[in-house]
Amino acid sequence: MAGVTFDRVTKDFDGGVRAVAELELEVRDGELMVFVGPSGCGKTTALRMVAGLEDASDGDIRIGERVVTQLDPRERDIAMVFQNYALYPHMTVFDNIAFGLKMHGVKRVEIDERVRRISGILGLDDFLSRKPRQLSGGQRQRVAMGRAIIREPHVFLMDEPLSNLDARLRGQMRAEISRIQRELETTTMYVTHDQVEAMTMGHRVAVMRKGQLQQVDVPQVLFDSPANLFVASFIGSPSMNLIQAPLERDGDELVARIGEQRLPLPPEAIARNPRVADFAGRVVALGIRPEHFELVGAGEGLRGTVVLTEALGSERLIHVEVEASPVVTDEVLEVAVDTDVAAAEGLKWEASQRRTVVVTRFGVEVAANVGDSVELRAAPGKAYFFDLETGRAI
Amino acid sequence: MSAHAERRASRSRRRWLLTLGSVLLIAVFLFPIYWMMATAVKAPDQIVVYPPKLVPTHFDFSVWTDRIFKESIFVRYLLNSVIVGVGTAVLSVVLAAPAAYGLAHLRIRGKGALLLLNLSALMFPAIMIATPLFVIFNRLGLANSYLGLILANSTLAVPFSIVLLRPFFLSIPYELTEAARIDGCTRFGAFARIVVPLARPGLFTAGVFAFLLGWGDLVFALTLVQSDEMRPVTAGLWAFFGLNVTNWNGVMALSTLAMLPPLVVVLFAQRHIVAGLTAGGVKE
Repeated sequence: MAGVTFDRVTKDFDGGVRAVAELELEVRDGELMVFVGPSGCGKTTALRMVAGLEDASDGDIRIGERVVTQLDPRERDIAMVFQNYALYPHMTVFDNIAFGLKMHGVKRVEIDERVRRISGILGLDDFLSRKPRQLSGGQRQRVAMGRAIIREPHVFLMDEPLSNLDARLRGQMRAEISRIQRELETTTMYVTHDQVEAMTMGHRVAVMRKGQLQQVDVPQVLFDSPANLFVASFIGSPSMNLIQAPLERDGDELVARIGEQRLPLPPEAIARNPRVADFAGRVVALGIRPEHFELVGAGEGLRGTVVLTEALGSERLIHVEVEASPVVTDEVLEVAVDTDVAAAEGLKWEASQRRTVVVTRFGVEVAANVGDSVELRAAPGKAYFFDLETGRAI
Repeated sequence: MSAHAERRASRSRRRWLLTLGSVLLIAVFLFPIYWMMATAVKAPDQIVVYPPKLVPTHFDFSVWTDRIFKESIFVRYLLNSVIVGVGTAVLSVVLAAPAAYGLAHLRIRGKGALLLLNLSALMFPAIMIATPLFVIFNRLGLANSYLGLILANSTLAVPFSIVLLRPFFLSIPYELTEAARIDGCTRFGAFARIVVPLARPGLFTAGVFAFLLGWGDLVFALTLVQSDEMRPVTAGLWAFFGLNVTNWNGVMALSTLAMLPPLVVVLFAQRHIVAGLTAGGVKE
């Protein structure tokens, strides 16, 4: 087994498009690293460079101690699961799984034994003589996994392998892939744009944007301590609420002016982010996750009006319109567009109106009706501040 | 008559008209074949008579018994056509397949220009390149040879096969090649083991069209071949054209015979040809 190292790797396509920019990253031996980001961020290109399906324009890629940058895919000892599975349509399931072993000169008897063992693990025993077109999506996905696993490679590469499955099957396969990876302890690079996959599967998650690595850490740290506006708005569903907050000094207090309200920052918020005090007199981005709001009494928090409630069975999403300008930097708009083009236009419109809708998440016991006036506050230590000029967390 | 019955009658009339029109169209296209086969067995006095005799009343099989089945040269003509046809098919597919695949999937600088160049090769009629080819082949010792004829016909068959095959390869996902390379194949190995088996209908179609092109060639056969033994059947027909008199029985008899092998090939291959021409039309 071996880790994967990106040593200042760059990829430029024809036409001057820089898909990956000086990527420096180490995927540790035995780790499942999830690469996540919006479409076009470079995550798939990075994966394909490790596979040898794209040439790196600059820099080196190492698998273990071996520099593989110039090697053919077949010489890298990697296995890949494609988004559309890429099963060979003219071969049976058995032959699909066995193909890699056959190409590496493994004897027929051993191929037979290994294929049957893998098919047993993946529940494919009854399908070995079928062709891919006779299989369901989930079965094809397992054949693709089997084809990768049987080779016992140094690295697994998975390019959005679950994106073509329905939600229920995706959940099952997510757990299965995680289980198999942890059993085999094979270094795995997993590309996805699905938040849930990123947060539940990876030992660590690498967030990418426009070819650049934004932050890499364990999922909980990305959620609790996003490094910049992009990571803050990308990680978490629903996204972190981001509003513009001019900061003023009022004696010893630091006050955020949001709309017509002046809200003093609690001491724990400043203790958690001491550099916030340096931004007095400037506008910062204030971020609060939907699950980190508290409902408070009159005069204690940010006033707003309920415009929508969504009951989700075990929780309730309450959309509250407040008098505040949303953050509409490039990073935030990019995340919004990736979700829904209309959402980005909605953000710009809200900014022009100096009103925004914050999404809050409460338990089902919290009742709220459309039109109700509410006051909101961030739970202690759960307010995030970002420099609007650089996008970085303060 | 009720509205429903009127609609049914109108649909029935439309169907009859369509059927009649289709039969007439088919008759127009098949008539030359019929006329050829009829003339091959007509008595000579019925061939050039006016008004023409659509259905022969007197038959004459002497050209068949005394010449076609007696003189071995006609078998030789047919054999030569088979060799040239099959050779053109094989060479065209072998050359065109990797070219079409590269033009479909590989990142090549100037791909658009290459495609245009390939297409432009189809714009030249055979008569334009026959003489330059004769000069070149003569110097290379390829004139009056099977290889010369195969190469000459391939100058037209290869570009056509590339045009035919490229959309077909485009419909085969490139990911299959990538998966094969990761599984241990070289680029060419992935092409040979994965793409070629999937492209069989397209390759078959290209091969059949190249065979028909080689079989039906007359221009290169007349230009590049000097000896009677090397003539394909298209040029062999000239044996029945005299300075003043033409043996139409013989021309049509040999033509009928010459029609049979490509007819058999097309009948045998028609299922694959349809599959080859329509495959890739629906994305899986």
